[in-house]
Amino acid sequence: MKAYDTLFAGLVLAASIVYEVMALWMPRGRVGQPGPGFFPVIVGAFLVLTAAACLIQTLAAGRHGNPAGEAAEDAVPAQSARQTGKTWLLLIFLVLYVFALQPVGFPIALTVFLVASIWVFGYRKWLPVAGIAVALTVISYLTFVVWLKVPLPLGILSDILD
Amino acid sequence: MDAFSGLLHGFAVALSPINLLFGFLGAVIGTIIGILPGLGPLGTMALLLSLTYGFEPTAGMILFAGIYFGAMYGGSTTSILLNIPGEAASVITVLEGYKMAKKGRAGAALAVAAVGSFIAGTISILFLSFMAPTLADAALKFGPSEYFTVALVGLMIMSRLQGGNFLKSLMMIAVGLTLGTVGMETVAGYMRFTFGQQALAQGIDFLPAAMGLFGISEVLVTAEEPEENISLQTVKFRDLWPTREEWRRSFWPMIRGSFIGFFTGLVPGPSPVIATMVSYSVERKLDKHGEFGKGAIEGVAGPEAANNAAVGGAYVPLMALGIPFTPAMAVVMAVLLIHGISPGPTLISEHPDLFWGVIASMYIGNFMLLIFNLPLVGVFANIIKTPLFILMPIVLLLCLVGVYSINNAIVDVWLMIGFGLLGYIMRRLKYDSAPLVLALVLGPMMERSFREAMMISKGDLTVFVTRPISATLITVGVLVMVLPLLLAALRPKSAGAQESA
Repeated sequence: MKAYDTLFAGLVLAASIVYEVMALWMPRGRVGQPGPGFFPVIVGAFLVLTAAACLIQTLAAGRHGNPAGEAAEDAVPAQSARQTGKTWLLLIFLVLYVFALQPVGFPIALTVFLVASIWVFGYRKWLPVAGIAVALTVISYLTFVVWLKVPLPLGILSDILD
Repeated sequence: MDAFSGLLHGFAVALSPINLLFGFLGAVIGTIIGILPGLGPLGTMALLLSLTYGFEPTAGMILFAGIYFGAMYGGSTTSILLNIPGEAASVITVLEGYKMAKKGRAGAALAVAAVGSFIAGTISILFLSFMAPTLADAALKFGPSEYFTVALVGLMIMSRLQGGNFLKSLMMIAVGLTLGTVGMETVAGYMRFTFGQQALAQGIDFLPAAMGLFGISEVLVTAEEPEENISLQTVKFRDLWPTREEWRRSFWPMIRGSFIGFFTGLVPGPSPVIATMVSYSVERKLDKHGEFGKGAIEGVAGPEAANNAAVGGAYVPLMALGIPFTPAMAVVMAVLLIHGISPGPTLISEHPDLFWGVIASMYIGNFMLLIFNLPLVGVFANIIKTPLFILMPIVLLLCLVGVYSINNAIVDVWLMIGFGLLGYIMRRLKYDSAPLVLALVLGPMMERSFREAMMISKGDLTVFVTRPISATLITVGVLVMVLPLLLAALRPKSAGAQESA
């Protein structure tokens, strides 16, 4: 977990440097008339400092013979590959849902997404899974589209549902 | 309108059918999410925000007050019966509550927790009724420098009180502040950090961030954890009545917990959690029966009162100053903003229906919660048996549909998923999400106040330390930041001196 901790702090530090450089390019104005870049330069510098401090803290914790270090000693233990796989599967399904939202429409995309996520959480009887997914989609369609008038994309079903 | 007539007017508003219904729904949903470990009141409020769009803001505020208070009530149930805290604010209750259950006093512990929550909730709402209007009057004198320092000191205190690693909290505040600068800058219309994406011109809304960091990431983390089979201890209604001795021992802890909770609630950070810790340590110090650690009823009564009272306290800065001191209050603020109401010192005078209606509904909601958490405790406790394969997809559904309905924009869905992944990584590496979300909310306000303060003072930076309110706040902030460092520096010396002695 310490390697990930170091990597994360390092990535934030790198991003903060890019942010600060971009902020420095913006018109800063003067103290009595601050421009658009004034505040970003200050908060960017603050981020660079804190990210660098976090990175040093993680590195120092490892160097002092404490492989976990203060930063990582209370970190959650690594999960098994099978368990972590579920998280990545869910993330992939989430991304696919957003890609499908506009062309396919929310009712179909959501039903398929719900089937997939129920399956990820370990329930594999297909008929009840499909039933639950369809029921949840109908409830959300009635609540959000019909009742609250949220213009969720209906995609290929727009002719039928409009 | 004085407080008494305001309250009477508020009851007339709160007793309208729609407001009563929202109060009831809030109390039910709050109790349920309080019982279920994982999703907390903040995540739930963010998920349900879109459901409040079609109603008056008062109804939305009442719903969220019910959820926040309800989560504090419900959290104690599984802490006592199952040794599983439903909420972070109920972790302390496990220490004595579960031991009481093992001694066969689960009913008494549940009753004391519910009655303590009710007493504390009532006391804190009473304080809120009187304190918020007074503070709002005082806040009318606030200028941009005061607003800037309130937000700055709020973040400083939060970084200290959030718990966990101080540097990590500071870094998360910095991340939140930088994300708050994305989008079109309001004075000159300058595009900042949008990378040519028009979708980012409006900036990064904190709601996709909150839903991602608290909703999606919760599901992602839960997916990795094996599901446990839960066997629930049943409590009969007749077992719920504590003995005369238990009532006597619980009374003062409840009162002390109410005061501790309310005043802790005024402080930025996870105030309900801190309130329970402070109350527990106070009760432990005052213990005369030597039962702490073995199922002391004072250890349930005090903290359970404290976490409820902290909720009332947390409403004060939002209602009086228009500044949320916790991410949950930021979501409550969003209900107002969506309806074009700017929270601030004039909120109470300009929208008395809303303020007093919400206060009155809190009283009514507390009564409802007492009923849910005493006679119906067995029914609600069974909710913990809901399988994850039902619960988690519902959370995902509410996230995906709810986030789209904020601005009807697909970019918000992408942002939420991005924040969900970030939140998952942060949880694994023990970074707290709350400072990031609060800084994202307060950042744009801080920048606006800072720029106005500088223009008014013609670039005189001493304005933040020469005006009395700003100077006092800055002093408090610096003390909170520096004192722990000083104490830590002094501690090894005294320890060393003791050893040599």
